[in-house]
Amino acid sequence: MHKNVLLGLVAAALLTGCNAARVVAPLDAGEWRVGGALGGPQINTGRLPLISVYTAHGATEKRTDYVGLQVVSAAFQTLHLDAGSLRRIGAGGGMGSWKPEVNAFGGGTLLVGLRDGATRVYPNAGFHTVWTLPLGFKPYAGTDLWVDPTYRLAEFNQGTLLHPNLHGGLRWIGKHVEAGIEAKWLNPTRTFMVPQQTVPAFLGTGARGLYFTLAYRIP
Amino acid sequence: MNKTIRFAAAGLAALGLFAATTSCDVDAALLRGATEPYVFPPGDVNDPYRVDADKILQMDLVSLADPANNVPAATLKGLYVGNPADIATDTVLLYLHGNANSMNAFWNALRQMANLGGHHRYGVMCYDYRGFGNSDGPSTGTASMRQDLHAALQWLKDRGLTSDRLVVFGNSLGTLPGAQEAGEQGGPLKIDKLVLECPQSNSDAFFQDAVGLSVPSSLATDYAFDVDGNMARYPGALLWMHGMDDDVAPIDNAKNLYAAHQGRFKRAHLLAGVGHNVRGGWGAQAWGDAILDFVARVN
Repeated sequence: MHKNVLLGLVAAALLTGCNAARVVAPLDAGEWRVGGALGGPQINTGRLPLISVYTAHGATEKRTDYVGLQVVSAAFQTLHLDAGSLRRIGAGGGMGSWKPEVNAFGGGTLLVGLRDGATRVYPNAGFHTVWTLPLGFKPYAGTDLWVDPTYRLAEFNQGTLLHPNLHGGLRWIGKHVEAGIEAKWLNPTRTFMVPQQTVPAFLGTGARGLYFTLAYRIP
Repeated sequence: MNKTIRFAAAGLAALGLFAATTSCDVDAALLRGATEPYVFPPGDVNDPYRVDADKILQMDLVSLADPANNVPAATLKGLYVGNPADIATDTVLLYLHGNANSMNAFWNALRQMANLGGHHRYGVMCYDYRGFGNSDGPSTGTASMRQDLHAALQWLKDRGLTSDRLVVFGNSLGTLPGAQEAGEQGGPLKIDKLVLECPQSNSDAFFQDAVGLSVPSSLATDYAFDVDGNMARYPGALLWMHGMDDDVAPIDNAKNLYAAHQGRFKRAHLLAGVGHNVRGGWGAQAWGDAILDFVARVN
């Protein structure tokens, strides 16, 4: 029987790092970007259609702040917000150069259960290396490390403090729209078990996710 | 800029409304079977687990309301294999089934149980929880599962069963109400002999195995089951059977419930090479022998 899709769906929504990167490079100063992401980890042979929405703001030419909300978690009576700030720490070599721009980011995810008020906060930090190609294309790769400060609350001492994941993707940034696709290797330090479901691993561990993003640019 | 902020605020308000007006819960999937015609063939003369056609009784059970927990009354479909007139003197195994559409999926196990140690030696009862098979639905969590189990216990008690002749067998999902009642002992009959086959541990561990973070299960469900805690409170005899390759109910989690149990007797069968289907993986003969041995030891 394969009836625990709902559990898989929620699990996928809450899996460490289970969003595409909100932004991979600083926005123009003063620019707003409002968008959404669709996608998630692979469960069985398909991918669960997780939806999140976000907005980002270019605070300066080098810094962009962002906040997002996971819609699937909201449907399960959980407020699931992520917020953070991205900063350029290394200028790239420019159009067509092999030298990437390096952008660091840090922030966190807040989970509040509306049933009983249970609250968890998971800080995260990482970086994107971003190349600039003609026609607005920006391939990128990076890592994102989540910290579970309440890992000792996990049952049977099975919690872990650090939850890394790796990602790579491609963004296209047009005059009014940004679109992207991103693949993630989620939490390769552990295996996931969704009863009566199969969570395909990558290289025998973790989970693998695929995400699509679309955002509207507001100068 | 102001337009953007208004747009974002409107979006967040819409999402807030969405969250407030939807109430998805993982247990909607965990606690849901499907309507289907009941099929309980007695088997032919060459079938080692053949039962007599006149000893297959289907009945309605009345599961009472629990207003304090917002649980309405419901009619459940039950099954008794044996002669109900013998309930006053027989040992009866009450089988709490796993997550499947209905009791149909467990018929082979039920009729084998009826024949453990001899043809129709034991009476066997099973029922569909709310939302499974043709029982009224839906199941909504610990409170509805408790009411359903009490309905079955009441039916047996009304026909003369006493606690000393009752063996409760929980399979997978069925371990949740079984362990709960064993820990609470609040029903019409006390549970003193309990078999847990591939049990889950508790709802938080169940959820954390799927998520990977220290998240409580209340982020996804209000079905807060706690087999470990209930086993710590259960004073009776326990038989635990678990496949070591179980990828639905991890054996490492279940070891905690066995360690927690401090009752009068316990025995474990941890089965190498066996997954979540213990009877199929271990073999029906060995499975039946283990149950028979347990009943003989603790009776």
